[in-house]
Amino acid sequence: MEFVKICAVLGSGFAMGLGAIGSAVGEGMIAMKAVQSLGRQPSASSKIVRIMVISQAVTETAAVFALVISLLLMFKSGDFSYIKGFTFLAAGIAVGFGSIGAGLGAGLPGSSAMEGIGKQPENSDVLTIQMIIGQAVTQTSTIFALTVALILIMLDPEPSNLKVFAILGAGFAMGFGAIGPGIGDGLVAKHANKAVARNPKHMGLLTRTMIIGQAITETTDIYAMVVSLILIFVV
Amino acid sequence: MEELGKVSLTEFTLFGQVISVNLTTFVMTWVVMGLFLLLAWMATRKLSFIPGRIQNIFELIFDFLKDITVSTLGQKDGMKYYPFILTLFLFILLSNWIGIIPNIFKILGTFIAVIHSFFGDTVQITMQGLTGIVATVPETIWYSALINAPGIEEPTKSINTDLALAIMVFLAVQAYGIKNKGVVKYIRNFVDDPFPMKGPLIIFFFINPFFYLNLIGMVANVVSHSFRLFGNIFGGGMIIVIVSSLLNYFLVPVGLFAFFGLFAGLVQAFVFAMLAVTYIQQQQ
Amino acid sequence: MDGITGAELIKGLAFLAAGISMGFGAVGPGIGEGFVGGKACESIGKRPDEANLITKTMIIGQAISETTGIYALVVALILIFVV
Repeated sequence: MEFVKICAVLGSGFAMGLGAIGSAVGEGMIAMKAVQSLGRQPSASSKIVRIMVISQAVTETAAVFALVISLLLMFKSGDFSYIKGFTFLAAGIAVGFGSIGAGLGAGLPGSSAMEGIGKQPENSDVLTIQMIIGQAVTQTSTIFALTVALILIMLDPEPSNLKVFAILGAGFAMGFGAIGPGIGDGLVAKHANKAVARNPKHMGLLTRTMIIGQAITETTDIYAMVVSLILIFVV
Repeated sequence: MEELGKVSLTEFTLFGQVISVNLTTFVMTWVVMGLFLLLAWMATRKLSFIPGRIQNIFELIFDFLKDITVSTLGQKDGMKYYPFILTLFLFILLSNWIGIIPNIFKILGTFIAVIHSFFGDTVQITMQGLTGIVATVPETIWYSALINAPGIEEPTKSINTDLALAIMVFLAVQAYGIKNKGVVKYIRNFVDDPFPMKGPLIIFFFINPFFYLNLIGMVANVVSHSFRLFGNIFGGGMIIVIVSSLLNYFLVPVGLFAFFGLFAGLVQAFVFAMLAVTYIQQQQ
Repeated sequence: MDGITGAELIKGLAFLAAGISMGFGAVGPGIGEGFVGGKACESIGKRPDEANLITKTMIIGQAISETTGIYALVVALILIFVV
C-alpha cells in the first residue's frame, strides 16, 4: 500500500534528521573543550586527541541507534494494512526525538572531562574511566526509545480508528519523554567528572553517587516508557 | 528477527482459573537460583585466612556493598538489612549475566544434525547468509529436543520477575517503616506528609490532596524500580538480536554483548540494590 | 478506514493527549533532577566527608523535583483510562 510506504519513509526521515541533532551538538561541545585544552597544554596533545575520539565515539551511539531505525524503516517492504503506516511513523518519532537528549547528555561529561584533562593531564586515566561510565549510563534514555521503536516496528495491531491515535501517542510520549532525562543524566555526569578531575582519589564515592543520581533522574523516562507501553498493548 | 516476540507459554487450570506461565523465565529463574547456591557453596567451601580466587571475589563484593549499606543505614539496621540487599544484588547480577551464555543446546543439536546429514536424507541443512545454519529435523529423532530447546534468557528480561523483586522490596520497606516508627506515626506520616494536621482533624485526611499524591508516589516508586531494570535488560537484549540479524549472524557483536550483558547488567543490579537501600533509609 | 465518529474522536484525541502530556511532562523533571544530581556530585567532590548527608539531600530533592513528572503520569493515566 502506498500510504504505508509514505509513512515509513517519513518516519525514516524523522528518525535520522532529528536523531542527528543531539549527537552532533554533543560532539561539537567535546571538540570545543578539547581545542581549548590543547591551547592550554600543547604537550599533552596526543592524550587529549585520543580521549576526545573515544568520548565522541560514545556520544555517537544515539545517532547510530537513530540510523539503525532509519534504515530498518527505509527498506521495509511488504503488504501491510494502513495501521502499520502509523506504527512506522510513531517509531521514527520516538527514536528521533529520543536521541536528542542522550546525544546532548553524552556531550556534557565528555566536555568536562576534556576540560579536566587540559588542567591536569596526569589524571587522564581515572577521568577517562569515569567519563565512559557516565556517558554509558546516559544512553539509557535512548535505549528505552529504541526499544519502544523496535516494538512499534514489529507490532501488527488490529486496525481501528482508536489504535491510530494510541500508537501516535505512544511515539510522542517516548520521544519527548527521553529528551529531559537524557540531558539531566548528562548534567549529573558532567559535574561528577569535574569533581573527579579536581579530586581523583574519591573516584569510587563519586561514581557511586553519580550512578544513583542518574538512576533517579531516569525515573520520568521510565514513566514515559510505561505510558507508551500501556498505549501500545493495553488500549 | 522472528524470535523477538516469541514467548513459550504453558497454560494449566487451577481452581477453575486458567493460569499461564512463561516457561523459559520460570526454568531460568530456577537455574539462576541453583547457580547461586552452587557459587555460594564454592565460595564458602574452603574458607581460609588467605583467600583463594573465588573467596577473594566474593569478599570484595561483600565488603564493597557492606560499606555502603552500613554507612547509609547505620550499624544496627544496616547489618540487619544487609543480607537482603546482598541477595538482591547477587541474584539480579547473575540473572543479568546469564544471558551472555550462548545457546549451548542448539549449537550441540545443530552440530549433531550436520554430522547426521552426511549419512542420510532424514535431515535437511539450509544455509541462511554466510554462517546461519538451520537444521530441519523430524520430531521423532532423539536430538530434535536439543534443537528446539528454548534459548538461555535472562529472567530479568521478563517484567514478572522484576515486578516481583520490586514488590518484595516495597513490602520490606513498609515493614521496616512500621517497625521503626510505630503504627500510629507511620500512618500519620503517610496521611499528612507535607502539612501535618493537628489532633482530631486527621479524620478529614481524605480531603488532603497530598494523601492521594503520596499513594500514587508509592505505587510509582514500585513501577519505576521494576521498569528501570526491565527496560534496560529487555532493550539491551533486543538491540543485540536486531544488530545480529542485520549482520546476518556473520559477526557476533562482541562489543554490544560486553556493554549490554556485562556492564549494563552490573550497573542495573547495583542501582536496584542501592535504590532498595535508599527506600529503606527514607523510612528512618 | 471507516468514518470516525465523535465519541471515537474524543477518545482517540485523549490517547494522543496522554502521550503528549507524559512526553513533555518528562522534559522538565529530567533536566531539573540532573541539576540536583550534578551539584550533589560537585559538593561531594569538595567535601567527601559529608557524602552521606549530601546523598540523602540529593535523593529528597530529586524526589520533590519529580513531583511534576508524577502529575504528568497521573494526567496521562486519567486520559487513557477515565476519559
